[in-house]
Amino acid sequence: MKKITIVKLLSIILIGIAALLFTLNDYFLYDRPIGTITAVENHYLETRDGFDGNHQYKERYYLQKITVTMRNGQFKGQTLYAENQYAQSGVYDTKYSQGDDVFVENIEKVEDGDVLLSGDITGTKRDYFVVFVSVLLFGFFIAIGGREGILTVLSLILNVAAFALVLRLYLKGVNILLMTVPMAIFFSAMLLLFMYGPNRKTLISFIATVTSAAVTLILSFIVLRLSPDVDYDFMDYLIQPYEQLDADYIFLSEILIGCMGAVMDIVVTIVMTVDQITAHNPDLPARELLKSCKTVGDDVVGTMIGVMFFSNIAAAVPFILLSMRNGIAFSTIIRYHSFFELSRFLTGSIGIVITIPISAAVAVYFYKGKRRKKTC
Amino acid sequence: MLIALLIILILLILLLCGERGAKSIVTTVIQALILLSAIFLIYWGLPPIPVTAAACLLIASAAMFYQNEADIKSKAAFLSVAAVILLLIPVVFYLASGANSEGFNSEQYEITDTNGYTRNIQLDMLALQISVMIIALIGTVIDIAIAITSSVYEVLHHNPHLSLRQLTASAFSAGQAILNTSIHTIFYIYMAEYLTLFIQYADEYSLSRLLNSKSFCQEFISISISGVGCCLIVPIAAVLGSFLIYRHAKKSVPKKDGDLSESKS
Repeated sequence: MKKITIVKLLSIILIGIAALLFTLNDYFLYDRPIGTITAVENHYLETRDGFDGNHQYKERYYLQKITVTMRNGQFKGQTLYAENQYAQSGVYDTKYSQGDDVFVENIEKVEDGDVLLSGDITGTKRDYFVVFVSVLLFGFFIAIGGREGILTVLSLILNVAAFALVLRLYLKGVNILLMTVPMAIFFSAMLLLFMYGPNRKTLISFIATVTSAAVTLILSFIVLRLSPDVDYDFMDYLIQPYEQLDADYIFLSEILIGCMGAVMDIVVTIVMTVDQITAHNPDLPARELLKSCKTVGDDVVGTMIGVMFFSNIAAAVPFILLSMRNGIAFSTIIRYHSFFELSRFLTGSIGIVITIPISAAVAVYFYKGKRRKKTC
Repeated sequence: MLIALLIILILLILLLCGERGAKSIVTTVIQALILLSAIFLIYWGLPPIPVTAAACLLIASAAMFYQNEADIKSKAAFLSVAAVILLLIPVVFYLASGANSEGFNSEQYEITDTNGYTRNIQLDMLALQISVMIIALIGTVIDIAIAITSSVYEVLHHNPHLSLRQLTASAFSAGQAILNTSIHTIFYIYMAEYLTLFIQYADEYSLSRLLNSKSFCQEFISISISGVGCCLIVPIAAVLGSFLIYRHAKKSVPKKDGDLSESKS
């Protein structure tokens, strides 16, 4: 047993290292010219003032004179000279440093000593970091999660593939909510099958998950309909111009997807509790069983709401700070800019809270029903 | 709409969860206030990473010592969370700085100088990006840590004669069982968060442009780091939790004649 684990770990590490070495040297895969920065000189340019109504900010601007060795294409091996301007905060611009792999455009020939080329740096080559972090993630999954970890990885990949398909169809004009609903149902079924195999527990968990998610979605829909039109101008990444109704559907899809994971998490916990208690104490009355479910639910609800809160809000922090330093009032930021993060947090938490009684009721109903049939 | 949702949520918690539910509202409010004061401290010019690290520890202690009782379980969970955060900060730093992932990306095209968000803000966006990634994972890490240490405590409570090794093994398998659903929880949250961004990707991006874009890299690193945090907390909380709880139980045995339930309120 021990030996197999070590072999498995070693092979994970080896595959990981191979993948990393490959992406470090995959310049030949790209059509766009790529180079590695070999030297950087920073020159101070000027200081500009920023003002948010209360505080004065000093932003220092720099010019970088960058030497690049080209790594692919017709200029492979040649030296290129480029310039880049950045402000110290790095809000929209980038400070490059030695060793960065960068994309270069507008390459022109110049005659200036050793340097023969000039061009503009348009972005960093980041595929290495994407692969690095995936290797780290999948490696940990498999090392720590074991068989479950491999299933998790598989399920995540399938999920991403399905999302890609849904988005393609959406761009072809299919209503996005009409696709996310069946997708959510399908994935909860698949995930539960992965975890439990085809049996009763899976069916019960599935029914509880779908009911709870449906209630959450319907509740959000009612609130969305009853309140004044949402201003989607501040929805991150939304393609402008948008149609109000279409944006509503996107928003509802987000709400549904956002709560699915948490709902399933709670359902699994509750069903597990009922399963274990009935296994030890088959004669416990339904009332007592519901009470234990409530205790277990109360235990997890606080931390689950914490998960919802931090995972949803974190991404909004840079924007909140940028707005604050630009003198936008905090209440405005909350009301318009962080509206979507906050409402996803709130609907997700509502989903968590209503899942507890729903799944407890479904589980107790089925387990008690099973017993009654047996005794008859 | 936000207020309507908030009222529904609070009513539901009070109706369905009773006293512990009310406590979880207070905890979430405390945690939100800590995050808010961290944001204001950064706004006033304090360095983001130390402020975030301190805020995360405070948030964790609010979850553990206020919401749950301040006993050995919570202490073990707290130490594990602190260890994971300290371990992950250098990893996040390497990834975020190496990938030049600071600041806003070209897909957030509403956020520009001309729309009133000037870049002259004298704030280290790289440090801020690192802080964001740490904040994003703190919730799940706390969740898993508490689940594991509670399970260790219960297992030892029911089987006081387990050896430390057996205890750690049981804690580890309890962690494995939670890992899958926790990962999916955060995965779906992120998917929801970036649905609109993915629509942009599906619209016009090639794979190579996607993999090298700043926006994708920011999110992918953030998602993955949260996942890595979830994985890391399992062995750390299992080992630390069973060691501390085991030692605590052995210490209290002679005093209380082996009755562990005395040490729980």
